[in-house]
Amino acid sequence: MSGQDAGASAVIDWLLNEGRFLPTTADLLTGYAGRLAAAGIPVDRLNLVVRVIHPLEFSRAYYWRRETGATEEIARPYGLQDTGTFLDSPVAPIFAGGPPIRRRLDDPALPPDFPILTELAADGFVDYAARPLLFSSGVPMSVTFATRRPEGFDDADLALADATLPALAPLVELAHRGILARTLLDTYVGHRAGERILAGDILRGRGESLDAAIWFSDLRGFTAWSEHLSRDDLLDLLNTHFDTIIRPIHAEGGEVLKFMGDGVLAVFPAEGAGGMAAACGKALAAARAACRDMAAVNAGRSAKDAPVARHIIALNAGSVSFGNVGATNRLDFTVIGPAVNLASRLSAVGKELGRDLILSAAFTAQIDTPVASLGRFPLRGLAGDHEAFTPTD
Amino acid sequence: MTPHREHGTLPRMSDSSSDTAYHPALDRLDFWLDESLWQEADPARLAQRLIDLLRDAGIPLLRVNIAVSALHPEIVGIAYVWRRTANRIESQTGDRSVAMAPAVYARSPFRLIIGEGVSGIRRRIERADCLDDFEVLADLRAENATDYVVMATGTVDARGGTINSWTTDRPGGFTTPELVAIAAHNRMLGHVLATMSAHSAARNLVNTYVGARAGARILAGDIVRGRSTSIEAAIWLSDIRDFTGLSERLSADALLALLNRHFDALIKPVQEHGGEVLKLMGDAILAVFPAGGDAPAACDAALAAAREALRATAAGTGEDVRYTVALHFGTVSYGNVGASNRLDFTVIGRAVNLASRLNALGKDIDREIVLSADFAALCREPATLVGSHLLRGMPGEYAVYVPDRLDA
Repeated sequence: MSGQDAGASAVIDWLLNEGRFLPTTADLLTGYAGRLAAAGIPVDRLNLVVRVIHPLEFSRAYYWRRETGATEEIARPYGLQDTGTFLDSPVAPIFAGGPPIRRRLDDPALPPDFPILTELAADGFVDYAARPLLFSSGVPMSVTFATRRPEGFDDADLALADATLPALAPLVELAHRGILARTLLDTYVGHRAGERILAGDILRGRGESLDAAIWFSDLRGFTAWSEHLSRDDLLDLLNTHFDTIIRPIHAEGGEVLKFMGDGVLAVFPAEGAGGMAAACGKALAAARAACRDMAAVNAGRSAKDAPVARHIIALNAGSVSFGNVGATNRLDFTVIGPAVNLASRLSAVGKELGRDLILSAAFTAQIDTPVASLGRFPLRGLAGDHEAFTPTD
Repeated sequence: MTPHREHGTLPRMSDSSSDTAYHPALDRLDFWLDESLWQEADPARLAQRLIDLLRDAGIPLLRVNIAVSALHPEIVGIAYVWRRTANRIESQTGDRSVAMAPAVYARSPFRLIIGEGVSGIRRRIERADCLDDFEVLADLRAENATDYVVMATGTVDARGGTINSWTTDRPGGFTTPELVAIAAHNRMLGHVLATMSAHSAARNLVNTYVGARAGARILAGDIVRGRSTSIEAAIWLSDIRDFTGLSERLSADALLALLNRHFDALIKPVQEHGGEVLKLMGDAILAVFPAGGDAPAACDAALAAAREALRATAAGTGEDVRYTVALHFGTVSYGNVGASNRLDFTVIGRAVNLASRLNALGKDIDREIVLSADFAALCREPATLVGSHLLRGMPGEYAVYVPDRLDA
């Protein structure tokens, strides 16, 4: 075995026997950098960039530097792909399927095509190599090596590093696939439900009883708006509404379970909030914040002659069934039960009364805030009359 | 690293330097660095390549079973089974309801691995004192197997743990050096399969909770708000009549069971006719049948699905669950809406609202299936006008049709 083979084998053995058990990609990269150094490669800066499927992010970048001996993880926002920061970096051609890149940074004729390389040269780096890191789909991610050693890398250094990449790639891929599943569930199913699903709760018929404050909100007159507005204006109106409504829900520890057209169903579980009274307190705080924010947003939109829609939030408290329902291969992770129906019916009453916020009797019993009765109402499908309230302060 | 508990007698890996446990197959770990292998998308081909390697190195395998766990509502995992007689891999999908049935599970090595956290099992089948605790041992004995070894890798969760068994029929069973080599390769196999399985885990989750067509778009990277496309589709909006009343009268468990039966009865025909369930909302289903250039075909498919569902529920348990399916055809926006980090992948627009209002009207006029004028004009099945009605939130009156035939 040549020295280079032995060096690569040691790095690969470490990746497959120890590296794969490390909890994060940052830890993996730190360990990998250490092993490359032990194999005699004079790497002073290591950069790994992974494209991600994420609602807010374009990529995750991991930077290891010899000075700190640590790896920094940076989430790059969605939109970066259209900026010079990305387009003028060596990562862009690598992502596009281009060949490896090698540049001597101390060469006076260093071309100015990649501004980052000029910066690295000014920072004392001498040699630079960018490599595609192939995921099993064939999609290239990017890994780059830079050194300050005056002689730069020699061919054997880069050959050794290249030999380790097939072992590094699946570890990075596996970690990001795990993150992907979590991101998708957080984004489309909700965080708490997603955690339960990832823990294996993916079977029907496992209903779990949950005591919670229940939030049911809607836009008033949405149907009429959807008659009049263009698709883009309608989407803009909806997205603005959802942003404004959902931010305070998340801020108070609530979980959005479901969108229904313009409607939002959310819960504030008693467990975790410190009891039902506390959960209702959080739900009410979120509702008040949402009403305040919606008023501000609507004032801003009116000033710009943009379409405005008012909302209704109905709050109830009760026990709901939380779990998987649906056909065996197409599930919904949600809450069902009379307490959810009551919240939904109450929102219809609130709309007719022209209110922003309406509370059930069960909810009112849990909070200290002064309230006034709005009267008693028959609710479709529910027996008897139901009293509805609104805060007075 | 996690400590390994073993069941039976497996060789120790850690003291290999001091004993003579060495097999030529252990020299072939470079096999796992072949780049084409990491790009391999088919676990069966991968397993066959490994089995060929081990047999070339002289290990007398009789049967190999590689089981990869799946995070899927119906499938517990996929097993890849190789037998020397056929010398090829057969894949079997493990039905969760079968594999995890108490009588099966109790007599399966999975019980020790999953239930008790054991990472390795060995049964020396040829020996008189061999434990007879697994159903599979009788089959293996009938094939003159002498030694059966089970090795687990990873954990049995979304990251795709594997439970693999290796069987020989050589008298005396596997040698210790053979088991050391098999264990080393098994570990690598588990690692590659975990990567493959992580792909399908993400796909399974999105298909299950968001829907297959939307899921494919999301996994292709369409996860950012503000991007939407317009499609023409037949739109299905169904819900149970008086669900609120039912949920007052029934216990939570009875209500869940009723909902699940209802969704089974409706979603299966929707999917079989090319529809995609976009959303379950309480008792309601929103589905689309994309036109794809042939609007009449999409409408025919949607109506066929509605009639089939109706027939299936009528022939069912006789439970008094009645529902209404509203069918409309129109242009809808299809994409991500929501707050920036909590999204919904769905259709919105006037056409969806109309379907929703039509559904409410269908319940009011006591019809199982109601069609909009647009749908009735495109659909090739005869339909009858039942009147013009006001729809809440919509200007003017809308003509409402019902299909002439309700039987499929």
